[in-house]
Amino acid sequence: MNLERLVSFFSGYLQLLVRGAHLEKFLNLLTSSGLYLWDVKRLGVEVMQIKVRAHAFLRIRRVARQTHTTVKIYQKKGWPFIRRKLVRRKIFWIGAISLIVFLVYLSSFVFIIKVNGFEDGERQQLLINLSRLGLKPGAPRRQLMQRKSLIEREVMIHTPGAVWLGITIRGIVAEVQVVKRKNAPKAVDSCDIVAAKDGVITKMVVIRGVPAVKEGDIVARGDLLISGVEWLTNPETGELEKREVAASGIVTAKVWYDLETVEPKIVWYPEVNQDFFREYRLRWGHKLLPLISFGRRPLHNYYWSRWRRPLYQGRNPFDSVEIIKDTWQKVIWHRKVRSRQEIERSVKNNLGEKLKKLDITVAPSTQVSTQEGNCIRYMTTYEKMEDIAKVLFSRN
Amino acid sequence: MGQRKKVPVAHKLADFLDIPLDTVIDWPRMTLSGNKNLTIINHRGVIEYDQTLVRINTRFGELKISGSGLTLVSAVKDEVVVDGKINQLEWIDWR
Repeated sequence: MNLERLVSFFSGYLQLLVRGAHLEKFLNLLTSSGLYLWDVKRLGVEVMQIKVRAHAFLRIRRVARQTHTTVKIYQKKGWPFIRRKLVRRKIFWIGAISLIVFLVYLSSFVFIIKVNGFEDGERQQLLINLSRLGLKPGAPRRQLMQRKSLIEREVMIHTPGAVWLGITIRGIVAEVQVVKRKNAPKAVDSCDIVAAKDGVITKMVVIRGVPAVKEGDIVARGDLLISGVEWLTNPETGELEKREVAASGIVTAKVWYDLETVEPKIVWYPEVNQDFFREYRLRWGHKLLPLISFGRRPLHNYYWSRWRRPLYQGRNPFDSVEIIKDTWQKVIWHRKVRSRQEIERSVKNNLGEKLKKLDITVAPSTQVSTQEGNCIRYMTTYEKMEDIAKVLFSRN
Repeated sequence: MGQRKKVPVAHKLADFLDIPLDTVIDWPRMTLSGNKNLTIINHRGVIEYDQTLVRINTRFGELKISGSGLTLVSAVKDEVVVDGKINQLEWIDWR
């Protein structure tokens, strides 16, 4: 039936008003002659509205004469009539074409300049420099493409804070990527080396300065290891003279790490159900427009996840338009009493992350566990060789 | 003695071959979807049409459809589709 309607739309159809005493006879004669009628509505005692294809109108007139009914065209619908109407509307076409031409013309300019790598004052200065060289909102893209390498070179000369600068022009957006210069730290005139951690010194190599401790000494955090103050005897006067140097050296010590982990014996874990509620929304600036949703949203005990995709990056540089997909999945909570093996496995996993951060690869030296209510507290100690030398600039 | 009615050969054949009768013989076939839509295939014309009453002629008699807001959604030679709120269907056998 929908196919018939579709064919009728493309071949054109008429909405007719039929008046007469024998409307049923009129209908029967039309259908028996092989015509397709649809949306037949009785509007009054002797008035009826029908829809027929446009090419069947001549046959209808003949039937109308036979049944003494009058037929009047109420509306002409379908593609042929729309096309005829559109062809006549010259101003509309001129406007539409002008709009397209205008859009194409506007898209040949750069309107947005994005700077990545510089911020605040540096960014402002870079934009001023770029503007001076012709890269500013409203600049024609073709000219910029031709002068791109020249602009990059010139801006680099005027921007001492940048090591590298690249311009990418995509549509109406010019993206300026800058790599900031990192200046080397200032040379230090004098400093001491102190202990960064508690430990027992196992190896000491002094490059410059006076050693304050020796191998086998126990040091606490902040203790002086290598002093940057040297006392030298002046060969001419024979007096002691103080000389400040930048102390440096490698001080390896045995240090200990105590890692504490608390593991519950009873845990509740969620099981995600297959039932879900999914909602697609379009974000336009601060506005959220709902598009389509599936399923039924759980009111409590659910797992929520969000997926977002900004639409067409080139024309949407600030991610002001994006599609958001929110999914709510119902979860069922289960109670579980963990066995000793499971708890120990969990402790190992938890410690693994901490050990990775501390860069410890050795096996634990000791592990003590104590029970506290529904939890077990594990204290694990690791022994490690480490450079504990730390530079101290102020000598107060 | 009453006159015995003759059973058509097509009926006998369809019965013998276990074929549904409506596929062999042009009996009227009706499909009612809820109380909203009624499709009648193999009809013999519309006797009366109104928004509250549609009477359709078939081989075995008249089918009377009562309701409200009745519309003939499509009407072709053998098929008519009635749409609207159907309240009552009545079969009037003329034979």
